[in-house]
This record gives sequence, structure tokens and C-alpha cells, in this order.
Amino acid sequence: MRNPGLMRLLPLATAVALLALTISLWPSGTGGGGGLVAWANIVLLMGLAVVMMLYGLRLLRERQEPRAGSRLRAKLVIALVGMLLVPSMIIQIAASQMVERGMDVWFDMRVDTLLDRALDLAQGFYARVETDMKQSMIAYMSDAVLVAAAAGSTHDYSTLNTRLSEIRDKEDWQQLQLFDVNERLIAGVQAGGLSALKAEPLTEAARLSATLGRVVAELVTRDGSEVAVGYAPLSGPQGVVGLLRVEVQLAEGVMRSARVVESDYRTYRELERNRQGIRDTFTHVMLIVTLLVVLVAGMVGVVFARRLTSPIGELARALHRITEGDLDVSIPEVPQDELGSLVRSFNRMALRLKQNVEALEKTQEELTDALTSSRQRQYVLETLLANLHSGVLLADANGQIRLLNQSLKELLQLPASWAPGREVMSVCTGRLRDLGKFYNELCHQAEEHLQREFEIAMDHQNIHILAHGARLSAVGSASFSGYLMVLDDISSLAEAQRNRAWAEVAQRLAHEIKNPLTPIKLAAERLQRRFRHQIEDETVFDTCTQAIIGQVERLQRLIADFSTLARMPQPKLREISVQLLLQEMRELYSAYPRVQVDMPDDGITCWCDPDQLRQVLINLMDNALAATEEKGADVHLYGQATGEHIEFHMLDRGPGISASAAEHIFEAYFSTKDAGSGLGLAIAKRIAEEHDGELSLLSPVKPTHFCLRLPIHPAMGES
Amino acid sequence: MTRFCCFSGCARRFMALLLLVSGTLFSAGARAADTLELSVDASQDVIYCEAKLSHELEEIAHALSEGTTITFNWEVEVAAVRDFWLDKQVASVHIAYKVVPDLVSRSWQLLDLGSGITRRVFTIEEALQFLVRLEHFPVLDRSLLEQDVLYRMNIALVEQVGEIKEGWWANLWGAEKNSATLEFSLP
Repeated sequence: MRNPGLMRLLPLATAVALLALTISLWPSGTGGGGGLVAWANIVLLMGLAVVMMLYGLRLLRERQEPRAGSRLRAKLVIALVGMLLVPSMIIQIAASQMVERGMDVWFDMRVDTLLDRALDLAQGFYARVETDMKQSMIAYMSDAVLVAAAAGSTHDYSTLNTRLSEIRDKEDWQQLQLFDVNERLIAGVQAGGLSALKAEPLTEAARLSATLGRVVAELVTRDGSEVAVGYAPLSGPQGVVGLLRVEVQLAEGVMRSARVVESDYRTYRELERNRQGIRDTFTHVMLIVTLLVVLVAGMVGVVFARRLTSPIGELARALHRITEGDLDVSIPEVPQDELGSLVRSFNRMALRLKQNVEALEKTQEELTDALTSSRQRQYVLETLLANLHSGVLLADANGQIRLLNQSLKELLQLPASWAPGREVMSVCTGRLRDLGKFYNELCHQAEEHLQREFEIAMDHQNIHILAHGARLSAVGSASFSGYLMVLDDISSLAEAQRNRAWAEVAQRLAHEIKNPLTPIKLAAERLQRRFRHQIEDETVFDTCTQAIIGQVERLQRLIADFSTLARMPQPKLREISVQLLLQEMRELYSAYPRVQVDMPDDGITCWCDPDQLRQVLINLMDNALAATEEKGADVHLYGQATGEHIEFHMLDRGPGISASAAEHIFEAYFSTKDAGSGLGLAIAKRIAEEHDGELSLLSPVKPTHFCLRLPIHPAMGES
Repeated sequence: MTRFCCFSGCARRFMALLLLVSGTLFSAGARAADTLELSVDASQDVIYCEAKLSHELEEIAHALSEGTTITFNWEVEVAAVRDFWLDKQVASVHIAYKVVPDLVSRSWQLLDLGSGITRRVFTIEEALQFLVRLEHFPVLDRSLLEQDVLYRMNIALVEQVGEIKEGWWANLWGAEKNSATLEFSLP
């Protein structure tokens, strides 16, 4: 089986050989022996050839791997058939040679000669009898007594019978009969007396004798014995007048021997003539035996090979199924032999493999679930971190950044150098130095948690950061150890706390200072009224008392602002017309021609506390007028609706606000004016925030541009 | 699919070749028709046929001389020729001639198995002529035939060498068969 291609052609080659053998053995129809057996051979050979041819074509057509065990089965069948075919062919060849030799012996020349001579003897015996009979009968063809009786010239039957008896006795014939030309029996004699008066009808030979006018003899079988019968025409002057019939009893033993010789001769000649046929018949019989043996051997081989290779094929198919992933494989057990043991071992192996695979699949499912859960947790964590407003920074034990969320980048406006893998201390430089210090303290402290507040400078302002730190300690081998820092912008909270503190301070100051100011002022006025005339230098007196009164009034206004900031009332929202509000502002500042107030479109309204809003606008307008007082520059106020908000813009062409002042412009008690309390813009900003709006400085200089932005519709809770 | 069709085509061609070879061999096994001479003689009232076997006469004579019984079965059929259907059979005649040699008396008994007539001859030539020829043998009455109709006379000869075996299967194989066909129409 080294060359599968050639092995695939083997069945076709065998089919061709069988066809060639079929053609060579085809009965000629001209005396060929075998007959039915020959045709049976032809049918068998052609059947085998067709089977082999179809098998060969199927092999050639098959492109895929043959079924498991088929090759082994084919080998077993070929081996079994070959084992029987070779000795069968040898036996056939030997038997053919023996038959050939035997036929040479059977049809030996001596036998042939012997049979010829035996037949000659038999024929000679009969010929001798026949010749003697004919010769004797010729002598009586012109016998006067017989001719006269046949011709009907005389009716002396006594003389006739005497004559016939004389002739019979003389010739030793068995029977002698005389017929006239009309085939009527005239007279007859028989050895031992006549057995019947009625003569047998004349045969064709008798008529032939009468017709031809010559003696004719024939051999007749009667009662198991044979007699030679001769016919001699009796000739008269007018031609044939009668017929003499003679029977000669042949020696029974001799004739029996002669017939046996004849039969043997005939049989021998027939056999000799059919010598080739006999040889062919023998060949065909041997061939059909061989073919049947091969056929039976092939069938037995197929059955045997099938039984033998069936478990192997089952094993191969089961292995293929296992290879394909189907582990529900179980081979029916075969009888207790080596194959059965193999099958049982295979079944145990398949069962164990199935159990192992099931365990693996279960483990895999658990791992998959765990991984899915881990991924879900990771997703939740990432989502949480992404949506968390607090900045989160995770560093490992080596100080390298492992994770930082978007909020941290936005909160601290981190540069691109902040990325996972970088060391925390290497990127915490410049304005982020405090963060590095916090991390360093977290790393080196003994406690697990750390909380600090510090400020980080941004572009235009500082933000107040509340930092929480925690040390993550590894629990297991797969745990993570490092440091987690959560940073929150608490600038608003700090500002609120600061405002709250200022409010409390203002309230105490107002409470503590406001009460004595009124008596001081009243006392100063009283002094001015009662003792002004008693004082020599009235001018100095007036100046001093007026200064006391003026400063007290200034302190009262300051305390009033403090009170306002400290006890800002809740806005009382209602819908007002923006145009009406600005119209009031135009009328209020109509004395200032450089104030330009532009009306928005009619119908625009907003929900607000009009008093507080008017206070904001007046504050902004006063600041603008104060800033432009020296140059007399224009102040421009206008309102506009932008979607869900209404905006009030205040612009002036004054000297503007410096960058450092702009950072603190809305802080309480910060003022660039000498006489300012620093509470105007703080109060305005707070009013804006109380209305869910905002007050912002859009441009610090040229023009100085403030924008008050309020919602058109109130918030749900407020409405 | 193409490869399958190719192999299928190969298989068909192979089977066709096999049938061709088989047909050739079968036809080679059959006797040539020209070994049997046939002629038709239409007289006033009767249609006669003349048939003669001109093949293997020596073998037959040799077998007769060696005492082998030989039987000739003649089968004469007359059918009207039809172009688009099977021929219509008009007449069928079966004749059986048998020669039984007697080696002791050197004579041959001629038997007409149909009529039961027997005759003994003493020359092998007479016995041979009795077997191998039909002389002026009446086949059918002329009135059964029509004018201007083409008829086909077929004669088949089955030679049975040796005694006739009784089994129906005996003559399935081995019996030699000759045949001849002649088309004719009434003049």
C-alpha cells in the first residue's frame, strides 16, 4: 500500500483482467464444450468484473478519505481471496494436465483400432449372414414352383409347402414366406411350425426389393432378438410376380455382443468427437468451482473482515466525533476479545474525557462569569470615575500613576504629561507642587488615610482643593497595593463658608457698632447745637463735629451694607417686564446724558425679585458711572433674551479693572475705590446666584463689560 | 460535481464498450445466415420452399458414419411484413427429421417424426440428403396470401447431435441453430 494511486487502480485492472478472461472463455457456439456451465462461468466472470469495475470507479471518484476500516477490510478480503485463489488455480492447472493426460490415455490409438476391429467383426458376422442369405435367395428367384404359385398359375399348395419346407430345411432359415405381387401371403413355413397364420405387413425394404427387382436384406428386432430379413423378387415372364421373404435367426449371443460393440463404438466416437468439448467442460467445471470458491471466499472474507473491522471503524468514527467535539460517544461492546477490551478502554477514556471536559467547561463558565463580573465592575468603576465630579488619582506602590479620571484632568487642567505610567512626583511640579507634597505625606505617614486642603493656582484664580488620600494594602497575591487620592474642588464651599463667616462678623459688627453710633451722632449734633455759640473758634468746632457726624453716618451706611450682606432676604419672584424695568433705569439715570439704555423687544419678561434686580442694576450702573466720571465716557445698558435666559449687559469705557483686581472683584470687602465698602458686587453676585443666575465679568477693560444672566422661567421648586 | 460527471461519463462509455464487445461476441457465436440456402416456389395452389444446409456436411456425414443419431428440426414461418409494427404471422410449420444409424447392418433409418414414416437406406449420402434439405416442401396454401403484399419466409434449423434429451433445459445451450430469411410476394 505504498502507492495509494496505484492501489486505487487495482480493482479496475482486475476488472479488465476478468473481462479479458471472459472474452477468452466465451463459448464459440461451434461445438465448444461446457454449455450451461460455460455460460454460468461467463455470467460469474462478468458479474465479478462489473463489481470490481464499479468498486474501482467508486474508488477513483472518492476524493475524500475512505471510511474508517475500509482499507483494512479490503486488505483482509484480498488476502483471503488470494490465499484461496492461488491454490485453486494451481489445482486447476494440475487437474487440467491430468485430464489432458487421461484423455490421451482414453483415446489411445490401440483402443481406437480395437474398437474398429470389434465393429468390423460385428459387421462381418452380419454381412456374412446377409451375404449367404442373399446368395441363397438369388438361387430361388426363378424357382418354377415358387414363381408359378406367386403368379397364380397353380394352386397346388401341398407341392408349394413341400417346396418351401425343402428350401427352409436346406438353407436352415428360420422362416420362409411367399407373397404375390399384391403383397398377399400365399404360403409360408417356419421352424417349429407357424406361430400365426397372418403375416406381418411388408416393409419399405420389401417394396424396394419388388420395385428394384433385386434382393434386399434388413435387420429386424423382434421380441428382444434380432433376425435378418431378406426379400427376393420372383420373376416370371411378365416380370415380378411375387416376393420371397426369408428370416434368418441370428445368434443371440453374437448379436448382443455386436450391439454392445456398436454402442461402445458409438459412444467412443462421440466422446472422441467431443474430446475438445469434454476438455472444455472439465475446464469450465473447474473454473466455476474456482470462481465459486473465490466468490464464497470473498463473501466470507467480507463478512469476516466486516466483523473484524467493524469495531475498528466504530473506534475511528468515535475518535473523529471526539475530534469534532462530540464527547457523547459510546461504542457498543463487542465479544470478549482484544477488540472488546480496546472498545471498553476507549469507552472509559471517552467517559473520563467527557467528565474532564465538563469540569473544564464548568470552570470556564465560572471564570467567564467572574471575568464578566470583573469587567462589569470595571465598567461600573470606569463609568463611576468618568461621571464622578471628584478627581481620582490612583498610584501604585512604586509611585507610578495607574489611573486618573477625566474630572481630575479638567479640575486641575493637567498637562499631557499626566498619563498612566508616569511617576507622580515627577509630574507634580510648579502649581501642582502641593499635590506632590500631599502624595509624599500620604506615602510616608503611618496612618492609612490623610485629608488636606490646599489651593492650586489656575489661569485666573485659585481653586480650593480638598484632598482625601488612602493607602491601599495588598491582601492577597492578586490584590493591588498603592495610593488612592480623591480631589474635590471646594472653592464654592469655601467661599460660602467665608461668606457665612463674613455675614456673622457683619451681623455682630452691626449689632455691636450700630447701637452706639446713633447716640454718638445725636451727641455730636447736640454738641453742635448747644455749644457752637460758646466756642470761640466755631470753624474748628464745626469742622470737628461735622467730621464726627460724617464718619458716624459713613459707619452707619457701612453697617447697613453689612446687615444687607448678612441678612440677604429670600427673593420674591414674580414675572416682570424687562422693558419696564429698563425703562425705570432710563428714567432714574435720565440726569446722566452719557447713560444709554437700550430697550429690548416688547413682551420679554423674566421671573425675579424686581427690587433685588433693580439693586443689582443700580449697583452696576453706579460703579460704571463712578469709573467714567473723570473722562465722562458713555455707559451702555441693554437687555436681551437668549433662549431660556435674559441677559443684562453693562458696558463702560472707563479705565477698566486690572487683572489682579478682576480675580477678587466679586469677593466681599474688596474694592478699588477709596470710599467703597467692597460689598456692592458681592451682594450683586449673591442676588444673581439667589435667582439661579450668574453675574460675570466678561471683559475687564475697554469696555468693562458685566453680564447679569437670569433664567426667564423660575425653577420648579421656586415656582 | 464536474469530476463526478466526468467519471459518470467514463462509466457510461465503459459500459457501452462492454455491451459492444458482448454483442460482438454473441453475434460471433451465432451461425452465419448464408450457410442455409432458401428459396420459395409459388405454384398454382401451394407455396413451397426449398431449403438446403450447405455447411459442415462432412462433419454430419462423419457423425452418421460413426453411429451418432442426428435430428434436424426445421421451423418454417411465413409472416406479412409490416413497416411500423411486428410482422403478422401467416403460417408456421415444424418438421423434424431424424437419422438413426445401425452400424452392424451398415444402414441408416430415416424417420420423419411428424408423419411417423420411416425408411432405411444403405448409403450415407441418402441419409445426409434426407437431413440437410427440404425439397419442394409445401408450406401453406396460396389462398392465405394476398397480392401485392410483401411476405417474409424465415426458416430455422436446429441440429441435435446425439439422442434427444428429455429435459426442457437440455437444448438451451449447445444446440446449433441456422436460419435464413427470404422476402417474397405473390407474382
